[in-house]
Amino acid sequence: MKKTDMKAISDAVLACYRERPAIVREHMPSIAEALDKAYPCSPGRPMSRVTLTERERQFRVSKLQETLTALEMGKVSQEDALRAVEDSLVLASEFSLPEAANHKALTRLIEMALGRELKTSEADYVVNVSGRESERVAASQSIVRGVLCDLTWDHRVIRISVFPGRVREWGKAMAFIGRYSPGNCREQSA
Amino acid sequence: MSAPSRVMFSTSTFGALLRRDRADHERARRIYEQLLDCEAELWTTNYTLLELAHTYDRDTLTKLLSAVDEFFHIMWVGQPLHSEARHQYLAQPDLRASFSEVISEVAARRIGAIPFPIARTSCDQGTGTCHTSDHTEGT
Repeated sequence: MKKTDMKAISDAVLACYRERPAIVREHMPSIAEALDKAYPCSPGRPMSRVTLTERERQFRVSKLQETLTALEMGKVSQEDALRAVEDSLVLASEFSLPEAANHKALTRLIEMALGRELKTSEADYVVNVSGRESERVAASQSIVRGVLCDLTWDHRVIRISVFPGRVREWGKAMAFIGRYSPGNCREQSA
Repeated sequence: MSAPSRVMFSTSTFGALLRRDRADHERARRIYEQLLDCEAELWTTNYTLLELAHTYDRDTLTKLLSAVDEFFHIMWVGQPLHSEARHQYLAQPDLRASFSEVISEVAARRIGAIPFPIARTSCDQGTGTCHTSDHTEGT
């Protein structure tokens, strides 16, 4: 078989996996498993969906903001950081993260919860939360690109998987942001 | 609002992300960061890319297209989608949005994506002045 034919087939399988992941899982489970590893947040993978009351939301936002302020001063324990990661996951699933919980702050929070820097390893790795290893995974959600958290039904983190390659993609994905400067927009300068 | 798993980027979206002089730049940037962090599926259309190519210089486009290649899915607009968008566009003579904005909306519906949640502005269609549109379907 020619190399181009192989690529056409793999592209078709990948397109099918992206559009109809359930079909690939049903008919080609081993391929689906390999693709799940390569694309950890593929469509069809369970994502946490939360509906908070206004009071719950405010409580989580205020707790998270307290922790982020303490983080700035270097006064956050690993346990507090993990709890703040859980609050962030819940708020992110509602798209109601406060402004202070930006990418940089969340990255620092996860590093504190993990006890190590995200980019130091070349290989993918998994960190289990002590005492929760036997808990059942109800949902998986990413909070920082390349960091996937497995959660219990009540949104507690069981384990954190880190994909350093995907963490490093961040810079490339942001490279075009704010690139415009007056004068390089053809229509406006015409 | 739930964190979306599939989001459609139109010309306005990229305009807000590219241009620091736009009032909604910071908000768009923050939403984009969250979408990247949640590993949402990012989509755009070839019509949008063509419109951007007409508007921005090569340096800006090079950075943009590299990111699109790596992080976005592109919907290649065919005849059925084009026709549906054309009907919608012609049925609204007062609409200030470009045809590619309408294409983005129709494309988003087709794949169950939500449009990127910022208001679109007519300056992205090359008029030179910015007018925020009331039309922010799905936000």
